Amino acid sequence: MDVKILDRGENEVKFMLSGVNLRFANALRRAMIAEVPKLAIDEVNIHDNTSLLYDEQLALRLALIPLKTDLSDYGADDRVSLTLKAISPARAGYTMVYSKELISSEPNVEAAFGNIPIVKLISSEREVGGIKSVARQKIALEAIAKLGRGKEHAKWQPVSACSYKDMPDEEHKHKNSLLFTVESDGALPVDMIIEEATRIMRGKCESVLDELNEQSKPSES
Amino acid sequence: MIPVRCYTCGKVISDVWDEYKERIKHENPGKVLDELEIKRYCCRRMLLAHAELIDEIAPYE
Repeated sequence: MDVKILDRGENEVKFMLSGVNLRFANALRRAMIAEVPKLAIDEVNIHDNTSLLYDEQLALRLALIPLKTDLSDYGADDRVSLTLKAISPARAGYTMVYSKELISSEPNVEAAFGNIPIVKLISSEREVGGIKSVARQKIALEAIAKLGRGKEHAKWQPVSACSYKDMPDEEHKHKNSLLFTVESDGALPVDMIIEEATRIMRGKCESVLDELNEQSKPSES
Repeated sequence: MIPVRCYTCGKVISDVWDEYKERIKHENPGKVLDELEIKRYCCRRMLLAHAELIDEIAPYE
């Protein structure tokens, strides 16, 4: 097996994988998509929501925000709390609430992109019986992030584009070479995703071996 | 509100919405998308075809 990195960006890597069969390449691809864990918001306690979005729309948008995850720090049952409080301006106008305004209980967990708009809070002027007033909108919520896997929900999938194809040039085509493209959503560094996927594949193979050894024991005695 | 991610591939596209919206006032949208590194056509249509309707439904809450 031979790996050669062809192109490397901040959240994307292209590499050539040669000397393996398609079954192996596909197992790697599927491990990256469905088995590598990361943090995502899974529960939202909404204390106040007078915005234009329904509670469930707000929760869905929050869940899709990639959260930076350090896999060495978090295990299966760990939870991270993120709070969000915002109110529209005192005069007519609006404020846009962004993902950077999420306040995390853990210093190393934060939104991978700070500029994701979550909701627009609008203040509107009203006049009832000659008295002017401003109606303000606000949200106050606590979101709980948990570790999960892509096979359960796409919000836990650490990659967006993740695919392979035959190397396009003639020189490599005959040697069983594949061009892999892996694009991280920002939660995990892209090298970490590939490493973790191979570790998971090895773990699965080892559990098959253990099982086989276990099965063959009684026949010896 | 712009969707957080591309419906098809799952790439986060909403983080460039504000910049995209500002820049297309004077620039070619295709060129802006290229420079924002929105490469695939599934992601490009998310921004190109988005209609910001939240202000229009606001009076009817």
